[in-house]
Amino acid sequence: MLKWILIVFTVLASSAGDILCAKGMSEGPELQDFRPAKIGRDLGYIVTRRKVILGWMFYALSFFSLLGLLSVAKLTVAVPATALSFVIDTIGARFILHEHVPWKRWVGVICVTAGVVLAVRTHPKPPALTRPAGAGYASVHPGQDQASHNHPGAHGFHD
Amino acid sequence: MNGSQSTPRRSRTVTFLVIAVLANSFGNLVLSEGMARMPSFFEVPFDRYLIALLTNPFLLPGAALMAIYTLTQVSLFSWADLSYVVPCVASSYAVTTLLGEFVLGERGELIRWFGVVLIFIGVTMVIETPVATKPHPDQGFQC
Repeated sequence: MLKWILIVFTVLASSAGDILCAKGMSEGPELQDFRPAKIGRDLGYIVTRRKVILGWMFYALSFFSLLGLLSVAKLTVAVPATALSFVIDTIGARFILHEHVPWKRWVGVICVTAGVVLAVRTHPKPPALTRPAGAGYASVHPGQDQASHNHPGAHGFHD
Repeated sequence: MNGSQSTPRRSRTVTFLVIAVLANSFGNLVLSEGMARMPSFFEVPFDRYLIALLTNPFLLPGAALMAIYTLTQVSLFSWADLSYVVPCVASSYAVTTLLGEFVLGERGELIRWFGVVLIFIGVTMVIETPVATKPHPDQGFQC
């Protein structure tokens, strides 16, 4: 039960973060000037958008929820489950941000979600040569060492 | 649709997507390598763990790459749809799988490659749609 609660919370927090960041940035001017002298101004603009900051807070919640999820579920279950956030994001984009999502984009999102589930759910076989274990240095938890390389959102942002 | 306006925006979008995907994929790769060299959090004193963290040569570059990824994605949101950006950036999963195969020497099962192909098909479909589907508040409908 706890696993499912954490999956739902992780997905919803991640999607809330995406939607808030997108909302915050789409309400302001379009960033177009990325010359080195202007990048500082762009960064200053981004980090002062209240909805973006709130979105990052939801990303942080999603990250800690994912850590909790990893304590009760395998990475190969947790990461594919959180790929559901792509679908929730698209639904949020349609009904909260009022984007006009073409059918081709819906099909693409479903393909990407299914692809992530397949690409991450299965363990790769270990490499032929493994790193020797150093004294006092342990690797990541058994069963997670290889799969962890498949998680683009290791910091919890997407993931 | 205004082709003369949408072309620079589309090329800028693709550039930012490539930066975001590469920064995310390599950031995760570097962070994974860094964390694999860390002592177990539960087996060493906290101060020793902290020193190992701060002296880990992989963590700072990894964190910097993840910061680039985050800021690039947020910048994309200022002109591109959320429903366009998120699935495109998800191609990081496919790139990470490729990096795992060719950089880390992992041997993926056939079904993983099917997943990678599905991701690329999905991203190709999304990337063919307009970058933005609603008017921007300060510039009108562009793309």
